[in-house]
Amino acid sequence: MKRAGRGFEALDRKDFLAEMDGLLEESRDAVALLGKAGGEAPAGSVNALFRAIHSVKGLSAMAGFSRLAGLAHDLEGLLDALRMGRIDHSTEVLEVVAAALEAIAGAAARIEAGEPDPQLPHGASERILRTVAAGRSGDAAAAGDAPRLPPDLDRMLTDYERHRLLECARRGRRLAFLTLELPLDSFDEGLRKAMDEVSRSGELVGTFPGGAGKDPSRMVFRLLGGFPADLPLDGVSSRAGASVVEVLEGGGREPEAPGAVPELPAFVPGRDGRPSFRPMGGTVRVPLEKLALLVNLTGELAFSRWALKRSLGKVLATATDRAARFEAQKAFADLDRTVTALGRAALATRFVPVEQLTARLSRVVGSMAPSLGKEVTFDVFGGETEIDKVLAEELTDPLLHIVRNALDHGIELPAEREAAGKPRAGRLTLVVETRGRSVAFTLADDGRGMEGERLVRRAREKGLLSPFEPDPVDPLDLVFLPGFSTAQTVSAISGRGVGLDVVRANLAKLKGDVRVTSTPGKGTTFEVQVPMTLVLVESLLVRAEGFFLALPTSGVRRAFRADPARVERRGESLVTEDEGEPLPLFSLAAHLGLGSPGKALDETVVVVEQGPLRAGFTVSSIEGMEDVIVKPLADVIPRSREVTGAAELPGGSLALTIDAGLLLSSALPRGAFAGGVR
Amino acid sequence: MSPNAGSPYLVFRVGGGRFGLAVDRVQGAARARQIVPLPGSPPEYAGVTFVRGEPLGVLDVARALGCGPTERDGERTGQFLVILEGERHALLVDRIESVEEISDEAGVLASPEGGNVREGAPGDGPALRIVTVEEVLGGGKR
Repeated sequence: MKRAGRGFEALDRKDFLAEMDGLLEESRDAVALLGKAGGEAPAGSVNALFRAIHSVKGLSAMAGFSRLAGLAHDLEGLLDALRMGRIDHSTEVLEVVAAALEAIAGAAARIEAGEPDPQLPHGASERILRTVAAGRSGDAAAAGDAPRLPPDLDRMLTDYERHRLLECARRGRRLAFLTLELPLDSFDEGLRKAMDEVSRSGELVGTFPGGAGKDPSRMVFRLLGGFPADLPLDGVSSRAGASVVEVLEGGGREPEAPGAVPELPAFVPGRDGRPSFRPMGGTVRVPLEKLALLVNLTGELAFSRWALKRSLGKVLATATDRAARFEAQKAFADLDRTVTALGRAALATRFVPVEQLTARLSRVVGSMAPSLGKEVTFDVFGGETEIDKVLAEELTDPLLHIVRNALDHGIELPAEREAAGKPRAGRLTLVVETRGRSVAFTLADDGRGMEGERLVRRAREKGLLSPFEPDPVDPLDLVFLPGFSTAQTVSAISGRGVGLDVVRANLAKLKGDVRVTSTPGKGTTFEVQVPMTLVLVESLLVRAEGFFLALPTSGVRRAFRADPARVERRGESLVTEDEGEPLPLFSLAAHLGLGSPGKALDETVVVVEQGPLRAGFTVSSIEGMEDVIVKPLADVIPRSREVTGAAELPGGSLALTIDAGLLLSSALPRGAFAGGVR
Repeated sequence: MSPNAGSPYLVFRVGGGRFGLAVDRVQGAARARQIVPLPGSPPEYAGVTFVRGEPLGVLDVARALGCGPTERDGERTGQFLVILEGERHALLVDRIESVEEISDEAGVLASPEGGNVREGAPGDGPALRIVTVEEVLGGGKR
């Protein structure tokens, strides 16, 4: 068996797979956008896909996976033909691209399993090459008059930029140069802003140096854009910060009718037979340990700032030199701002919105449901929740498995659903929510559900339950037994009896668990819950008896100032009225056992609500809202159960994070106070 | 280390006592910064603090071992944390004194407070009481 080339010895397998995973992710995102685009392929998505596949080719070649590199090379050729207009954007082309991506993903999976240079599916490259060969030669957009460019800029255009220029003209877009004169010390910011504005308003065809300006402290750039013919360019120019706008002759002509591009007989590669794109890098992959160190060091820095502030305060209190005192205060204020900004930026590197994970699930639903002959809608709630990237990665496979299971076994075929009086399309719903120190993913389908008796029978048939064993208390738990499957046939997706046991085992490694509930004929719900390693929670920060406490805003209804005259005692409890209903009141500090007991209630009331429970907690002050990183406290650290974790605040203070549900359930013992239950 | 050099111990002071903790159970030491009291924790717990980005429970050695008045009874400054290896706890002590190699041949006496007191251990001041992590954490979990 052939060994992978020397390159792979230098390139760590883990790094290779991580890089490949990211590139496939980018590619699938771009294909999804192209799939939604309809008639015309958005240039940005085609380019993103081209860049990703170009990188796949380079990475595979470097690691010595010659077959994979060859397939990526062919796919790159197809994408180059697509972006250069030599083949049309169509469902068929996208299917070829999607199949090639799956072939690459399959090869990556086999590399992960240890194969040195995996075989690719038969005919994978041939299908790509046939698609390219069926395209046109030359530049489809070249028909008609080309806009006239100044000769110096004309020489600078790459093939791709020239193609986009012609394409814009062909579509009747108005072509214009925007000239920018930007300060040397911040030109990158201004240039980025202008490029974004041009891309938003139309299409950025190219960016060119503008030569020496009159002012040596400024740099000149020229952006070439293609804009809708009716778009006022003065607005674009003003938002982009351009000093001059020049409209090019030859642009803005009547758009050609669809299909006016002449069909040409055969594909002829570019001048040197290679794609003309110059690779650009937009992201850098950094090992998570390095990010963790960065985040932790910024936390340390925040503490040092706090210590410095305290010491500086003492020193400045006795300083007599007013000028020096002012300078020191100003220097500290600058440091304070920078450390706060650095802290936020560092934290952002560790977190990803859950929707990055759910987007993958969405793609699986989109590609798998039609292949099973099913119609399925997939709704996600709570995708904006941000969790630690490591956790998101670890959760991907278990959740993918549950989704595949629901599609394959849970949701019925349209005819079966209609016969059962259900809508043709099945519904899959994913709710993501934080629960105290955990994050929960609840995936529900409205499919056929599972019958406990049938599961027990199946388990006995397969020998997973001996004839002498009694029926389990919860028959649904049988689905997590190794080797269990109710599928009558083995498909590529499931039915091999390998799966939910592995899902549970993998979740157990994360100290999490999965539970299942089901109603025959109505559907099945899987609930995955894992403790958070890190979680970014939007929180209301309050002070209570001098302590910072953070309440997740998801559990806070509102805050108001109580009128002491409207607070009355009912039995053991204090009550006020809020929104026309009685609201039990508690001192947050006293309830948690912080500060001095018996102190009069503060007047600021935070109304905490979860499900039917609602109560008001008085606090000394409300400090504002912050996205805080909640670090769960280890179970071995004794404390009240409402305290789920701790968070370092941007100013260097520490806050204890409080779970709203647990706070309410401890303050409102069941049945003790009817006013706290809606 | 010479053959008879014994084992290294982190020597720290709490109240009027000197204590030694085997260094292989110590990850490091740091000046204590913000320690936030934890509602519902026993009195031996000073609270929670962050060390290198991770929250650690802080056990007050003075209270856990019942060492009487401490050097911390005044302003809460000058305190140190002994960060334990592989534990989610740090120990709050008054002062880190040194790392000493304590000879295994030094006489070992039973201490009335529990633990072992080594006579002949280096350093000035009161006799050194050798404590284990389990002993101190056990004090905090009483």
